[in-house]
Amino acid sequence: MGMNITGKAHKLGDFINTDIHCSGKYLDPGASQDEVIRRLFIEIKPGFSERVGKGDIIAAGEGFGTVSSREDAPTLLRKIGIQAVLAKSFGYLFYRNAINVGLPLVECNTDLINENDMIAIDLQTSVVTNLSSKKRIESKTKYSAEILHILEDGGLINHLTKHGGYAI
Amino acid sequence: VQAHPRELEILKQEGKTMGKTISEIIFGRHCGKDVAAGDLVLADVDFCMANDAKSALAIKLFEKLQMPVKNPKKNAFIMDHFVPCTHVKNANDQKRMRDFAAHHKIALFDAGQGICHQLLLEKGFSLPGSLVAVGDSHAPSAGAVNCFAVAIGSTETAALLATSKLWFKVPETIKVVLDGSIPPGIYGKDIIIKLLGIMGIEGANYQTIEFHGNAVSTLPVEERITICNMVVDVGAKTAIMEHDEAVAEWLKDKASKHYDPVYADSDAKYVRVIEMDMSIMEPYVSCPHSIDNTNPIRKVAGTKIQQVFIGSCTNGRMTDLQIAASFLKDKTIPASVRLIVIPASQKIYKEALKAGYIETLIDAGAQVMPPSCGPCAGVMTHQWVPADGDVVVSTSNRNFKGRMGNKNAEIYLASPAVAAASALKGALTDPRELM
Repeated sequence: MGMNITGKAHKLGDFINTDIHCSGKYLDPGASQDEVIRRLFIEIKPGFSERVGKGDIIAAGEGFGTVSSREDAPTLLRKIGIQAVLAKSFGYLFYRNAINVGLPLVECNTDLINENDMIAIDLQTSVVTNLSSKKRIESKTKYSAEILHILEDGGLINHLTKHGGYAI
Repeated sequence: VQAHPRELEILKQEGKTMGKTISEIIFGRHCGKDVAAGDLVLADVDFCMANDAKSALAIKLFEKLQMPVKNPKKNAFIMDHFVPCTHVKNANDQKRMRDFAAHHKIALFDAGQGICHQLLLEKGFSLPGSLVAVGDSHAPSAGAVNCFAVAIGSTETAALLATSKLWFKVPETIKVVLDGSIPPGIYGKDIIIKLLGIMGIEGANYQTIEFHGNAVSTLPVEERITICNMVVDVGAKTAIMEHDEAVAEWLKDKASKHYDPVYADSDAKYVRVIEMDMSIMEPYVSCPHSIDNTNPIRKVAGTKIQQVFIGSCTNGRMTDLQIAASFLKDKTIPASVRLIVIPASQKIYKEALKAGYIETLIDAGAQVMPPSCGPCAGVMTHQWVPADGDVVVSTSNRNFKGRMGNKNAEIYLASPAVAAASALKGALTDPRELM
């Protein structure tokens, strides 16, 4: 993953907790991952995972990924090809899990983004640009060198494997 | 979700100070340097736990690392979610936990011994001044004994098995001051439910809630655990309280090693201060379908109920069972109500048997189940799923739509006193009417 990301935006609303991410929790424990992926955000945006293409991004509202420490939430987003998530704010367990599985999150005013807008994100400077509206969006996220290192390596497990331990 | 009652004065502290919060001091100790809120640190973690809901993935990720377990004594696996086990996949995951724990010589607490947050406290793994990482969102429970306990995901559990270290952003802190004397019939659960309503679902995102005030020391340690337990759902990183004589006494038969408590500096910098006057407290409930949809019991009293659950990491301890038994002694619940009681650990179960609480509860019409998360964890445990239209009173910690396995049921969160009184009347009841 580079430090510069460009992708098509999919809009989601406010306070989408991890129960809504993975309604698969309410399937039988034996349900396949494909079935859980098919049901991502099913209550609020049916067919979401079919519409997502590799390299797309999510632009959500307040409190994206609140509640449980369920790691499937960011893992499955990466699995369907989501490259980054923008939101007005994030649940902290989701925030940590996302960094640790190599999914960058940026806090910014997502009201300035419409469905299918092309968005560019520079993680080093945390500058978000809406290429469709040609507007620059200020971001509240400032990643430290250590976190950028973990993201660049593709998450914590890859980071530890690559360096034989922490290299931050 | 109704608007949050902003009835209390909220003070924003300004001005610079060098004083430190409990979180800053604990992180400073665990990374060997002076740190302040906002700093990114690589900290030594004193203890790490994974339960049966998360450890299968943690084991898989750990094996990818191809590294040995760094400190077997600093890790434990606990089975509490899928107990009794109802599905082949979960049974196989639990078997993997047993095999992994035996192979790597880490502590294992098998199904039925207790809920992870309770066992971490009972076994003396969560100690004052320590930094503990727990693979379950209700980790903050241990803040009641001055332990900085934080919830983590499976990747982090794998990293901790291999390194005993983890990156953290030192959190900012909100100070909550509980002052005044707590009236009879009011418990830790009422206090935390009222606070959750004041703060709202994202009211403490990434922040520690530090509890102070003269009412804290009058609360039994078990009720302090209830208060700390629920802060995760206002987005808090954790909750923490100061050490005192009651905590020292409570830990006497649990802590097997020396511990070093941490106190906040008097000039510590807080991002927000919330003061709550305990003397005007009344019983509070979280109404469907959000924990911050809070109301005093009087506003919803009389609502007919069909199921009551007394248990969970929030309220399954001795004082909780004692309170429930005191309301139900020599009484019988109506046939329209199912009452489920689950002690939070085997130790509590035995003590409650000895004290006669279990017999009292069974005579009143309760079903007593082996220690586990029980119906709180939701449909995956297939325990006591409510029927369509059922109204449930639960002493647990979450009431989202579908939490107990049925989206067409309603869940009210309440204290054991409200739960027991409501079971007796078949409707939401102010327990003070029966005292």
